[in-house]
Amino acid sequence: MARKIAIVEDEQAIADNYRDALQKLGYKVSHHLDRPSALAAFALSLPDLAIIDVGLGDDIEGGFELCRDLRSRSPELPIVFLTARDDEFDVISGLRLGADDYLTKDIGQAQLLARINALFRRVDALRQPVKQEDALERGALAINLSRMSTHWQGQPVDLTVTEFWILHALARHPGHVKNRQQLMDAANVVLDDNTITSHIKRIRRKFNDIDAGFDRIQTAYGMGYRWLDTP
Amino acid sequence: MKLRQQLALVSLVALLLPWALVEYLAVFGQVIKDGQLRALEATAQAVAARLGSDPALMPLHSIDYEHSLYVHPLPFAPTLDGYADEWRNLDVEPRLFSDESGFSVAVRTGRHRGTLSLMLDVKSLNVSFHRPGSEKLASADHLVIAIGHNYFILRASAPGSMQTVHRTLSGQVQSDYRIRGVLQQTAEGYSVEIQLPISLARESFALAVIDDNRGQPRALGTLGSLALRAGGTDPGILPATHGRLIEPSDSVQQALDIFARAGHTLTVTDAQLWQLARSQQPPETGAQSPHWLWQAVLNRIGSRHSLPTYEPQHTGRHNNPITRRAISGQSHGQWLQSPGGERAVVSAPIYREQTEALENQLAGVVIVEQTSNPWQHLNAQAIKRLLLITLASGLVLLLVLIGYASWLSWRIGRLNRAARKAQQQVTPEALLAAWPQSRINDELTDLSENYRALLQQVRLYTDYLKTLSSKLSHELRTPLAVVRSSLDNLAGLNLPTEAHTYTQRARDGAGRLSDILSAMTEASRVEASIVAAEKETIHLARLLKDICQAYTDTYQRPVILSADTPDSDIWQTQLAPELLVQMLDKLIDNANDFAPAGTPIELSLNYLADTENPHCLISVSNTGPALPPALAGQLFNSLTTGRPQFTADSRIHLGLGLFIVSLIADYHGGTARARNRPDGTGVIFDIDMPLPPPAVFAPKRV
Repeated sequence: MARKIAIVEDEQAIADNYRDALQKLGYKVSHHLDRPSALAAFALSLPDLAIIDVGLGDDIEGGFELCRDLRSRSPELPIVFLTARDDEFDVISGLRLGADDYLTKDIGQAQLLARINALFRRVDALRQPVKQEDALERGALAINLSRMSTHWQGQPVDLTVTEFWILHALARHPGHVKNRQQLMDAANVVLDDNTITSHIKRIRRKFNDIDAGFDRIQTAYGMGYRWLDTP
Repeated sequence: MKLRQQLALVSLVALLLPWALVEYLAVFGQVIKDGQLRALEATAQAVAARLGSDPALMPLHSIDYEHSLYVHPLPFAPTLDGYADEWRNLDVEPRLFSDESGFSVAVRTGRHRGTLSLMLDVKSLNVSFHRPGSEKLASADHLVIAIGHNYFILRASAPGSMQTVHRTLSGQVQSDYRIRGVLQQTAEGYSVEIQLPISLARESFALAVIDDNRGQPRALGTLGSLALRAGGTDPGILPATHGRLIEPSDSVQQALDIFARAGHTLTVTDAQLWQLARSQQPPETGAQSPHWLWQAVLNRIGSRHSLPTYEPQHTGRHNNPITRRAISGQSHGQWLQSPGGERAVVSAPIYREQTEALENQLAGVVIVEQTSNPWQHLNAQAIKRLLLITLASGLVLLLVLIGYASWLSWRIGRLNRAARKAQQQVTPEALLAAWPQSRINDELTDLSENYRALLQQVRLYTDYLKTLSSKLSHELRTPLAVVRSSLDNLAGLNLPTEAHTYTQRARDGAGRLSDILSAMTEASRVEASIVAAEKETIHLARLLKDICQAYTDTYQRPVILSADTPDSDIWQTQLAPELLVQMLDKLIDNANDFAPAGTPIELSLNYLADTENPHCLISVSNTGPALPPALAGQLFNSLTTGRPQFTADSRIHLGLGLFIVSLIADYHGGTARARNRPDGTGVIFDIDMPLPPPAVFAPKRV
C-alpha cells in the first residue's frame, strides 16, 4: 500500500512540484494550503509522513502549531519542516516541538527524498527486530543505522535525521577529521559553515544532557571535527 | 587658529575701556592745566598792575642789552686775588662775550654790601703785558672801565696787581686806587678780578677787555666802539658811556613779596628782561605724597603730550620765548617739563602808568611760575576710584567675554567630537544617548538637534539596510525553491538532449542565486550565533597554530604565525573559539584575495600587558595594494566593500566579511583596525582584544 505524505505548504507551485516528484516515486500525496484544512484532513486520517512549512499564509507560526498538534496525536509520525526561514531561533523552536528534521527550501529534491526514504526506513526498522549488522558501537556510543537511533551510555539520544547522519559520519572513523563539506555530504544537505557549527553544538548539547562530561566530538579549528574514541 | 583663541583675541577689545578712561583723564587733566594757567595769568596781571601803578618802582632806562651788565647779589665779598675759586661756589652765571677768532671773555658780576666785584675769564691766544714808557695809556692787553666821562684803564706789566689809570679832563694821566684789579695767567689766557665801590658805578658803568693781538687790537664788553680809543694816546674828551649796571631792586622786591604764595615763584624783570626781584615760596608740604606707583600712573597719563623743557635762568636775564611774548605786549603762559614735575610759566607785561603821556610805557615783565602736578588739586582718591572701577569693569568684561567664548567653543567642540565619533561608527544607540544636549534654545542647540535627527535617520536607514538583505533573501528563497524544484522535476522527464544543457544552466543560475542569498544573510546569522555563543577556556596560541596549518593547506600559500611565547600559559583565556576562527577565516580570506600568488600571509599574536588588564594584538598582514583612502574609517561597516561586486572567481562580495570581523571583535570586547604597512607594501588588520583569565569552573572541553 502506498505511503501517504501530507504537504502543508501555502505556496502552491512548490507544493505541486514536490507532489509531482513524490507521486512519481509512488507515494500518495495530499496537499493542504493552510492549517485548518490540514487539521481537518488529519482528523480523518493521519498521513505516514508530514512535510510542513512554518509560515502558512498569514499564519506566521502555523507550521509550529500544526507540528505540536500532530506530535500529540502520534509520537512516531515523521515530521519534516521545510521552510524559507533559517533563523537559529526558528530551527530550535521547530526541533523542540518534536520535528524529525528542519530543512530550508534551498535543499534539493534529491536530498529531500533521501530524508523521506530514511525516515520511512526507520519506521520500518522500528517494526522489525534489531539487526546486528546495522549497529555501530564506539565505546559508550551505540548507533543503529536503519533505526537511526543513538544511545550513549545506554540512554537514547534523540537526534534529527541531519544530526544523526553527521554523528554517524564522525563516529564511523574515529580520530579522523571530517571537514564541513564532508559532513554536509554525509548529511545530504547543503548548508553553510555556521549551520554545521550549530548542528555540532546541538549534538554536543544533547549528549551533554545525558553525560555532563561528554567531550568526544572535538573541534579541529580551521579543519573540521573528529570523534575521539577515548576521552 | 582655534575658535577659542579667535574669540579670546576678539574679547581683547574690552581693553579699550581702560584706554578710553586714560584718554578721558588726559583731556580732563588738560582742562585743569589750562585753568591753572589762567589763574596764574591773573596773578601775573595783578602783580603787573600793582608794579605799574607806582612810577617809583619800575625804572625806565632805555638801555639795550649790549650795554648793560647784571649785578648778582653775593653772600660775601670774594678775596681779590685773580683766582676764580670762590666764584665757583656762587650761583653766578658768567656773561659771555666772544668773537669769531676765539677771543672770548666771561664776566661774573656781583655785589656784597658796597663792594662791586667782577671776575673776568679771558681766553686769548697771546697774552701781552704793558710796556712802561709807552705813549699809550695801555700798550698791550688791558681793560677799560667807563664811568660817565671817565675811562679807567686797567693795565698790567706782569701777573699780579694791575694799575688803574685815567686821563683827567685836562689830559693828565692819573692813577686811581678805588678800582683795584688783579691779573693771573691761566692755561687759555688770563683771569682778572676787579673790585670797586658800588657807589662809584651807580650812575653808569661799562666794561671792555682789549686784546692787543699784535698791534691789531680788538675789544669785547659792554663799552662798545669807544673801547679801543680809551687806551691809546690822548683821544681828547670821550663821550659819556651808555653802559649801566642792572641791580635787583629792593623796593620792587618788597612790593613783590606781598604777592608771594606757597608754591609760586614770582619774578619781575625790566624791559631788557633783567631780573629786578624774585620771590620764591616753597610749596606746601602738608599734602601727603601719593604712592609712587599711583603717582607714576598719573604722571604717565598727564605727560603723554611732550612738553618743552624748562630751562632755569642763571644769568639774571630771563630771555625765553615766554618772556619775549610778554615784552611784545602779550600775556602768555605755558606748561614746561622740569625735573621736579611740570612747571607752569606765565608772563605778563608791566606798563608804567604815565600821567603826562598818552600811552603807558612798557617797563618790564612779571613771570609767575608754579611747579605742580595737575592732579594734586583734584581729589586723588576719587580719580583712583574711577580708575579702579574702570579697570575692574574692563577686567570683568574681558573675563566674561573670554568665558562666554570658551563656553561657546566648548559646545561647538563637543558637537564636533560627537560628530567625529559618529564617523568612527560607535554603536549608534550609545552615540545618540551621549549626544550633546542643551536646555538653551539657541542655534547651536538647533544644530545639535538637527545633527541628532540626521544621525537618527542614518541609523534607521542603516538598520533598514541591515534587515533588507535578510528580508529580501527570505522573500526570494520561496520563488527560488519554486525554480529549483521545478528544475528537479524537469530532470525527471524525458527531455531532449539539448534541453539538458538549458536545465543545467538554469540550475547553475539558481545555485548562484542561492549562494547570494546565503551571503546576504550571513551577517545576521553571525549576529544570531553571537547571541548564542558561549565562551570557553582555550589556549589562544595553540588555536592559532592549528588554524595556520589548516589555512596553509586550504589556500595553497604559506600562512606564517609568529607568537610571543607560544607555549606560555598567558594564552589560556576565555573566548568563543568558533567565532574567533570565523573572524580569522574572514581576515585570512580577505588577505588571500588581495595578496599576490605565492606570497605568504603573516599572522602575529602579541601579548600586551601595558594596561591593567592584559590584552592581545592579533595581526593579519599581507602584501598587496594599499587600503582605498575613500573607505578610511568605514571599512568595517556593513555592506561596504572596496571590491567590485563580483570578482573573477564569481564569488560574491557584499562587504560583509569585515563587518563580521568587527562584530566578533566587539563581542570579545576588542576593536578591529585596518592600516597600511609602514613601508606601503601591503595591509595589516589588527584585532586588539582583552584576554580574560580562564574561568575558575572552566568546562573541560578542548
